[in-house]
Amino acid sequence: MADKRLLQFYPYLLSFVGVVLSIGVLLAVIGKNPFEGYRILFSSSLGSPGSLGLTLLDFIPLFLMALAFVVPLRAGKYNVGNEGQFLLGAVGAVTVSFTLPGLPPAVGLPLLLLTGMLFGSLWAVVPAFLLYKFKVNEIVSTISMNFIAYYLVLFVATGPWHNPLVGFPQTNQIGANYILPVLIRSPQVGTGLIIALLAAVVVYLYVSKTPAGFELRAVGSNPRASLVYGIRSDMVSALSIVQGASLAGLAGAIQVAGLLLSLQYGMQGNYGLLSLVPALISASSLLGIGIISFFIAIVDTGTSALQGLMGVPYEIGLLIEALFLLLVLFAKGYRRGNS
Amino acid sequence: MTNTIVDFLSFTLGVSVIYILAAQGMTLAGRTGVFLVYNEGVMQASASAAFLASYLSSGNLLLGFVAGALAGGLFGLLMSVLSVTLKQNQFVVGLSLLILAEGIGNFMYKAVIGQTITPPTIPTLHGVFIPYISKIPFLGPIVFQQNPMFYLSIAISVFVWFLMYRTSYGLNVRATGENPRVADTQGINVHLTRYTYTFFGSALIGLAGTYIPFFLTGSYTESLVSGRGWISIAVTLLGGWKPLNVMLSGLVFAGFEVFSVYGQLLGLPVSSDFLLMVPFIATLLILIQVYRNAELPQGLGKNYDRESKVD
Repeated sequence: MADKRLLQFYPYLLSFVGVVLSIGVLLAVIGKNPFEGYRILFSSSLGSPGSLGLTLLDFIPLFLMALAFVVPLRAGKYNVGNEGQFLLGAVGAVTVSFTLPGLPPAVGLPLLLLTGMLFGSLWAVVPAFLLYKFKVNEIVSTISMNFIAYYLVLFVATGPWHNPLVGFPQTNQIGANYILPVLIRSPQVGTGLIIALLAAVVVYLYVSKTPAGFELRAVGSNPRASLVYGIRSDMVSALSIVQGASLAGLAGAIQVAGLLLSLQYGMQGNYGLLSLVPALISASSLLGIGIISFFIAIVDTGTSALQGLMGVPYEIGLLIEALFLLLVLFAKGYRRGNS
Repeated sequence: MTNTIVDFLSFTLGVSVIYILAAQGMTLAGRTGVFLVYNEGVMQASASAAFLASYLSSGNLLLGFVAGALAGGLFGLLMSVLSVTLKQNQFVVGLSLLILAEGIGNFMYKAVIGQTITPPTIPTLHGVFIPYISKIPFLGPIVFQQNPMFYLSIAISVFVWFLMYRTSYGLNVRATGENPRVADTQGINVHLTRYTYTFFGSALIGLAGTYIPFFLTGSYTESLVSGRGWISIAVTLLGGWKPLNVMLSGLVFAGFEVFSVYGQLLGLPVSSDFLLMVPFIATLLILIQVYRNAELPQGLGKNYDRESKVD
């Protein structure tokens, strides 16, 4: 029995080793010292309380957006639009801050976060409705909403709230009453991290312990059987996208209120693509998603330092994550063929 | 005014090559049952490979096209190994390869060229003036002064249609996408067919990516593809996975893109941010219509396992 459980982790473990090795190989290929690279990669992301704080800040949006992807994935739907929903959450956050500037934090902060979630969800209502009503493939529709969101952010960030001191599409800073408080100084742990972890607990309880969560998983494993059983599969899968989107919206609001303090064009970075990795590798375990999200945050933070200190292209991070995912798929497929 | 219309339409045909090639590639693979979702990334990676190949050979565009097609084909091969042979979910594999491709494109470019203030450039494609008919008023400058890739993309579309719908070989190929089990019992090699068409389809997607720097920009940038790969999926869907319809739908979507650029030039009283949304809003609206009367290949997106008892 113990052997079998160990065997479960084999593909992941092997892939992990493969990924760590491939970082060195990639560095060597472009003529950089791999050992220096490893040292910088890990010391700049884990080596000091300060760098661990940076990694944790990076972890929040990655983890929440992975959850935003995985909730609908449980129902068999691909919410590739979490990036747009993240941006809408950020738009929601600055909207609250600039239209209701005087609220006390006890009222204002929850309002800001909830508005972020609401904006994110509303953005997903369009693809969810198209899926429910017209059976439109959610991959293309959610992605289209991403691009519309990019230009919407551009519009808002250059509009009346634009910060004239920055030569870049970016809004003014949100009010001090809307900044998420820092709880621990070293390593820096903000309220955002606690909220993200709480959100994960809620997702876990919802998916694993409630009737609605059961329906979600049932639809994901067999939509037709669920329909026979009396579950409205279409409705469940459409709603799952909206539910997931609220988490991406939350991530956007936290990113504004906890880190950037303004809405910025391009603030989504590579979070959309990166957040798919943990969700696709470990769709069935939220703990697994958390661990892999943290690993990705390490690599993401570390590769920013690699770019700054060694001139290694930042995209090495994307390459590494994709290799991780592909190696896991390969190992899973290979094991399937041999069993 | 006539000049503007001629420019608009002529540019639309030029841009349509991106959509037609990518969507035709997706159609090829889709007809054998393999759903490609990685167009956006593969186009970026191929554009990078193609740009580097032609830049390093001091502007040899032909070499660039070969490199771009090969880069695309390579992703097709990976897609086949993981989904056709190893039976991993096609969307999951596609998204994974998309991330790899997005990373590899920029990584290669930066590793070779590095950070520069002004990006290096290559010569772009020239229009070919077809004797006599290029002088027809209105029609001539729109259709018969395009670059060679435009004519090639039309020829490829017609060829794909002929191969798939007018030959018995094509019927066999399509059978692997409609009902692989039946195709298998008829003696058709399902796996080989899927490998072949995923390879060539992805190579076409690679050509589509290559065309962007070679026609539009003359240089490589991080946001070169900027959503065109995703739109090409909508092009395929609107074309109903039928080569000739896919070609027409490529023209339609090219029209939306060019409109979002020309809208600013014509001084439409709308913020440019909203004009840039046009192709994507159009995509959403068109998708509604598409799925109302969709006729997809029946086996699309499903892996075929000969030993499985359920389909």
